[in-house]
Amino acid sequence: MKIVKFLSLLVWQLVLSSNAGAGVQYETDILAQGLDHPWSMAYISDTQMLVTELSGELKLITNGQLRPMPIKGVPEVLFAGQGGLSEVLLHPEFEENGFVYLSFSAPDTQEPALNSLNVVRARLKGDTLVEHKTILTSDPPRKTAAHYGARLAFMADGSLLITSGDGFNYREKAQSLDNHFGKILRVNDDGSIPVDNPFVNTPGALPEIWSYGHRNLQGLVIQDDGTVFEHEHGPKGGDELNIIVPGNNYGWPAITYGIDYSGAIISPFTEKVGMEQPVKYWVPSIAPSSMALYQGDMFPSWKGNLFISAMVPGDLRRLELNGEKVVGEEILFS
Amino acid sequence: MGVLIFVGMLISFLVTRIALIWVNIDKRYLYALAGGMAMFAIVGLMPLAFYNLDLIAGARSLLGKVYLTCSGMIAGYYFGARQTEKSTDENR
Repeated sequence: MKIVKFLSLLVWQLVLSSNAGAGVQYETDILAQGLDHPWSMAYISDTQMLVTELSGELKLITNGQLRPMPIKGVPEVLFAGQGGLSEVLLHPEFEENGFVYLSFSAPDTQEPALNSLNVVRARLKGDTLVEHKTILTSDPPRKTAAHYGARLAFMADGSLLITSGDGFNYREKAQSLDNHFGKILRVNDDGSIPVDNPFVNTPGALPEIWSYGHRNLQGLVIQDDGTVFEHEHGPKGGDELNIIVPGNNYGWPAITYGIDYSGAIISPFTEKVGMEQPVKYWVPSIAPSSMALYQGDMFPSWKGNLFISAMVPGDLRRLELNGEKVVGEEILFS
Repeated sequence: MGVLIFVGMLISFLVTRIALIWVNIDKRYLYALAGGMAMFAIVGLMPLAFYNLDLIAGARSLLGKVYLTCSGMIAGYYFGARQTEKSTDENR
């Protein structure tokens, strides 16, 4: 009888804990079905949304209805591993210029066995992308189809931040300034280099590098005050949330809170002088896949909070901030 | 990763044990060959299965692959030597 009571209590606790979020029951509505690996969304208006499919198509959802025909003019992508059509981002003045930015993996033009992260700008005219311009092709190309980063965000001054992952096999290159692996890059909206980038006058450094020492960055948001938040996957453990300061070194792989998937130690160090600490890290990993900043008025207590989608075990969590510190973490639903 | 290497070695050593029924070669060298081939297969085929990723960090370079193959050969040689010792002890 005691065992039955204990098991009942345990089951009841599990039921309660599965509805985390101060007892709030969340209802979810399905906006669209039949999407093939949806990766990113961009709202054109209150009723229209562009959605990328990793497999290579850009779709339009209007008033909750998914248009079956994809947007035409999307560049050919390399859909393999973690690669494909990734981010879609509207220019801050999209209503005037119609510019849409896409990040994606594609075969290298010189060596087709290799591939690279690409960012392209195009104008959306009706249901077609026209006037394509390559904003970035990551250098050097890689043989691996993983760890592209591929997130985009516009800063208040109109410059564009691009996350570029370490390509998995090339992690040590995240510490060097002569390549795009493991970096956040900053370019102007036409792909030119801002004159105030931190390494623009550093011999041997690529001028578009804005910060370095990253792994696989899949979350990027910018607050109204210009604070840049970024999250990245660690290896086995060691996922991080960072505040990005231009020119700073975020440590990967020299410092990490994770270990290799094989169990091997990647670095015995978790901190080092000259390398930044995360504002939050997760061990074990939560596999953070995207991040949003809530700045609306509908939920006043959530204003300024970060929302992170976590693939492991699969939940949406809210991070409460006090300045640059994370003071609370809540799993809303899983 | 350890499981992958264990399974690879297990298969190669089992095949070697069977082959030794018909083949009269020093066990140490045959097991060394088996161990080396198992590791070579793992480090060589792994990228094909995982988007060209080398999940064993040491296998990212050609030299690393050579080292890991050699380590498989050394492991096989040691295993074969132990088998030879056992046979010698049993025959006394």
